[in-house]
Amino acid sequence: MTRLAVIGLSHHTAPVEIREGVALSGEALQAELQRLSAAGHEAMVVSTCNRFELYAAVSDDEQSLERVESLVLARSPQARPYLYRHDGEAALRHLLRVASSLDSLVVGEPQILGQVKDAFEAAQAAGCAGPYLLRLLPRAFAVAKRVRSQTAIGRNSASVASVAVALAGNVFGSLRGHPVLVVGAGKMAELAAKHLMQAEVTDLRVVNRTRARADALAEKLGGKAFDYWELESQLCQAAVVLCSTGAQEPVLQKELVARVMKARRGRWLLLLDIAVPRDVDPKVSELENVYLYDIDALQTVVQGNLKERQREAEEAERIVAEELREVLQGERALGVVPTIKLLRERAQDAARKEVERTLPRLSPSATEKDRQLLSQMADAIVNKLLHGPLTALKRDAAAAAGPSGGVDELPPGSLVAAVRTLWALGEPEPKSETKSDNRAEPPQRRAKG
Amino acid sequence: MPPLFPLTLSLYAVSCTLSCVPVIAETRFGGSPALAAMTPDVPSSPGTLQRAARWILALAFVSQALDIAWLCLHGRHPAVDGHEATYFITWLISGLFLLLPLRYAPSVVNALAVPVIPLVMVLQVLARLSPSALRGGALAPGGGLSLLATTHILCATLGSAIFIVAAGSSVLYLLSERRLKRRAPLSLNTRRGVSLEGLDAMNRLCVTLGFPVFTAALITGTVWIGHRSALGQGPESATAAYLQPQYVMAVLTWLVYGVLLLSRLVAGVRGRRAALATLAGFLTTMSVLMLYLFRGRGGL
Repeated sequence: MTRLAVIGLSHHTAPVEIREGVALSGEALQAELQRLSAAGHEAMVVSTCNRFELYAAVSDDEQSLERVESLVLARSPQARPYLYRHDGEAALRHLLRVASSLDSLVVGEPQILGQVKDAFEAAQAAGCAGPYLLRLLPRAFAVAKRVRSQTAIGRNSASVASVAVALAGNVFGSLRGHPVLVVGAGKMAELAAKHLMQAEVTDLRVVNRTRARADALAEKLGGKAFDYWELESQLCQAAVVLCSTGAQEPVLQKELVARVMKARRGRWLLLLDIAVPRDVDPKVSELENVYLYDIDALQTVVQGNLKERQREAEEAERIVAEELREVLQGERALGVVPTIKLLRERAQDAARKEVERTLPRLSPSATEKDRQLLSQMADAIVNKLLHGPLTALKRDAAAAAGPSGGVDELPPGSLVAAVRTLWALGEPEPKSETKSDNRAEPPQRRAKG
Repeated sequence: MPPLFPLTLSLYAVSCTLSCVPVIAETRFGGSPALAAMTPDVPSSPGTLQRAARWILALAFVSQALDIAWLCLHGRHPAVDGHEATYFITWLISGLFLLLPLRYAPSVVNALAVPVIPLVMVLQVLARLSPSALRGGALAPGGGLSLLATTHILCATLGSAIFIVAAGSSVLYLLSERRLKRRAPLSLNTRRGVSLEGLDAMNRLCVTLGFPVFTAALITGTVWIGHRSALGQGPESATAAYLQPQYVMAVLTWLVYGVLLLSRLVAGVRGRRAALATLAGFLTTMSVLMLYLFRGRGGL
């Protein structure tokens, strides 16, 4: 029976140097997938900065798993000590946890689901995704969506930049139409401002002691640059101020901000100070309608939010376990399909032969209509006789993967084996779904935003 | 007591509970650990609970409307005395809550319901079950009310209802601001669409709408008191009538909201100060209501 196997390494097991060695992207990834496809593998490669994993549909023999492992080691032999490998139920659980962002470095981060989707689409494009993955992956995406919608795992901001955006939302609702002033033009200011620009900021202004650097940053981010002497007037207009200068003394003193607030007629001002040493005098937070967050305060919020995510992760794990049981039940039920098919064919074949043998003896002048009537009667008898056994087979298959027993706990001498023995059906044929001629057509690549 | 009052009160209680669950659950994220420990897990998404709360509030609104209609048929219309006026105020507030989602995000309205709907319920109980309410009786001798008195009571009722909603937004503002100043983990506001700016705008809108209505109530009330004194009803002299506590508190309420409105327009007062001033106005509004409720017959 076909099952899922995963071999790979991640931030849990391997340092970045090793992860870099095996990472794949773009054309190299496509080439690798095409190589897998040519070798007849039904597989998918998830390659991100934090993980490299090869998911493959493997058959029951041990060699198929080793073949998959050799594919990974071929890329980077030194990765061997860092590799983990999961098989069957464990691999399914791993896939569901990865897609649900439970295995991520920052639990609950939203990117991983998109990355797994991209990996699946790449596998489809390369002709690597057969019926097994086509059936399994959409289910994994649905589980991930359920986790995100039914838990708060992805709700609280988990980075300083996203906390800054969330804070602005707390004060202003949306950043659209609210001027954002960046004081300083260093690397940190640029990084933070880039994140803010992704959050609907439409009016970005940059003030720096060196006008040329302010101009460069403003041009890069699509904002406007101003001279340093215009700081106070810009403070009067800005809604959010992001400070990240290299100054040794606070740039924004309480007196200056108090003056600015008077000119602003008390309009709310959000100050985000990510500089060390701090750019904003801590006493500024005493002013009414001024909200000051320095780097420590931002980190405290991030840490608090991460703790909440961990708490939500427990609920997410419960959902994953519940969904895993259902997936296994479905897989087990599918496993019984070849037996059912064979049993039905055998019975119908016998009935058909008996009809052909009996008809001439019944009446030499039997018409085509008589033959049809007799065939229908024989089919009806077959169906009625098989109804009970087939229902029992399906129920047995579903129960075997149910809460009382896992996929590996199927007792010997189960109904499937009994039916095969009683009806002399022989060993089940390998499932056709791993055959390369049964692959899905490669879909159109999703347009990247 | 109107026949549907127990049902109305129960529906308000259910709606209030459903509104509270998502807000308290949100508070778990960065809220006080004690509160988080007491909070049950949210059975479904907050959006579902919010919708359910709104539908049940709509049912309560209809049930209370039927109650008010029944009271009118029995000669106790909203302008007859303080109890009926208060009961009517609570109905108006429910109506405002049903209209608010047209302008504000449902989550904002839901969060606002947490402080306001319990207050509505307390007022309903006081209006219907206080000793003076149970004694009952129409205000005006002979049961009739002049157009002036009716206008006064309706304006005062509507103005108070709007001020109570303003007070709800102020409570939310102060809580949200406190979280921001204390740098608590983000939760309550961002995802719920409740920003400080939005709450302040709601407060400003309510006070701007409520003040002219309350002004009309004060003017008609002043004229009415003078008229009653001239007819020899109520206190012996007009001066004594104007010194009655409910009149003095009503004037004080008008002054508080007037100063707030003027400060907003002239000095640009907003945010915390405006919220505190609104709450001060709310206290005086409630004191006027309580005086009317507990003075019972002849309270006006």
